[in-house]
Amino acid sequence: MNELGLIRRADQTGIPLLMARLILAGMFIYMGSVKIADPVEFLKLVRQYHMLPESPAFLLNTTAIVLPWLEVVVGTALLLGLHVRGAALAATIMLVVFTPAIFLRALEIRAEKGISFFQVEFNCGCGGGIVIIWKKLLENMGLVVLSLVALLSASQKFRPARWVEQRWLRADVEPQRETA
Amino acid sequence: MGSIKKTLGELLLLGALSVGLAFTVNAVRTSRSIKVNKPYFTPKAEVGNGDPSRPKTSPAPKATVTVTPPEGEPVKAASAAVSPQPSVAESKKLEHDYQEISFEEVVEVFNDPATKQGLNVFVDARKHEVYDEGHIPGALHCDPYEAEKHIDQVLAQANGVERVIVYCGGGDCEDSIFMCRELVEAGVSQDSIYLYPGGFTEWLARNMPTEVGHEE
Repeated sequence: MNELGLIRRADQTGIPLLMARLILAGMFIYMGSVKIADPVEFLKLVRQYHMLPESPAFLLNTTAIVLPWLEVVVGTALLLGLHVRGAALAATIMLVVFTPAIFLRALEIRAEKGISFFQVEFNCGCGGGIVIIWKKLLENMGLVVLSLVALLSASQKFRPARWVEQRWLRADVEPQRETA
Repeated sequence: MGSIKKTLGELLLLGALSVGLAFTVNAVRTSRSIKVNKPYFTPKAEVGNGDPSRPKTSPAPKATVTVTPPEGEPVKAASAAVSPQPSVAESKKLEHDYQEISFEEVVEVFNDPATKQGLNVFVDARKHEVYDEGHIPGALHCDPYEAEKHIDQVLAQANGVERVIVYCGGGDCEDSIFMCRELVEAGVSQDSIYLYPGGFTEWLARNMPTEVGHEE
């Protein structure tokens, strides 16, 4: 059996998708909740990346208001198995945007303090307070892989909220492909 | 193609749900909410009543100052010092329009009998949790991100006084600068506002007395 076949067989079990969903859901719900608890603190942390102009103020302020809720909503959707692909795409976009931003900020701090990159630590606004950045970057890269697994998986197993998509939201749910 | 469209549709639906939840909760929460159009990070006051040409340096201390650390043994401020923490010493210079006051000058004001009579006022611009854990004795609390909650109490004591000393955590902390802006915009004379850049970090590092809890 070739590698692609093995990957398909593994995906059909639903286990890789379930693991990816649970880990991503746990991380996103936790990270979002910490930020929701103190949006002002998150606003200050978002500002440090200089990704958005400070004027007009609503750009930065709206980002700080909405982003934590997007994380919680995406995490909850992944947990319940509701709109998994849309949630996985949102997770991938957030991770792909913020991981390089954290890396660039870490480079800035390394240059400011004249320390090794492996010594750089700061509060990246990720929800965990002050963290060692190279570890955070590795963690985020792992999360990107998991979000891609969730995005590309064809499995429909272990999705308790699938009936919501089918009946309430009338979504065009793809037929089960994992049955032999 | 249909699958991509469906995924994008789901993305938009989740995004719309997030926006709705976020603004609803932000509107109803009683603390730490963000005002969408408020420019929180503008150091300059829009309505200034100070003289912009005024130099940013403060007058030199008039006399040797003594302080009483928590142990109760009086010591001179200059000799009471231990080295400030590296975060204070290495912090970059922040740009602002307010006159700065040094640690020694702050100690002088702290020990000035006029302070006990309410002629000098300390304003702590950190968030209330850290203020409650410890602050300069007698300091009023006012978080610039929720200034409207406490500004009236601060104005009642700060208007017309000789000096209003504003501090936050020190180092790269800019909250004291934003608090100065809030005070100026609320009508406090910029000439009476002094920014203490060392902040509470330096105050603690110099083994100065602190007070815990919240003012009534």
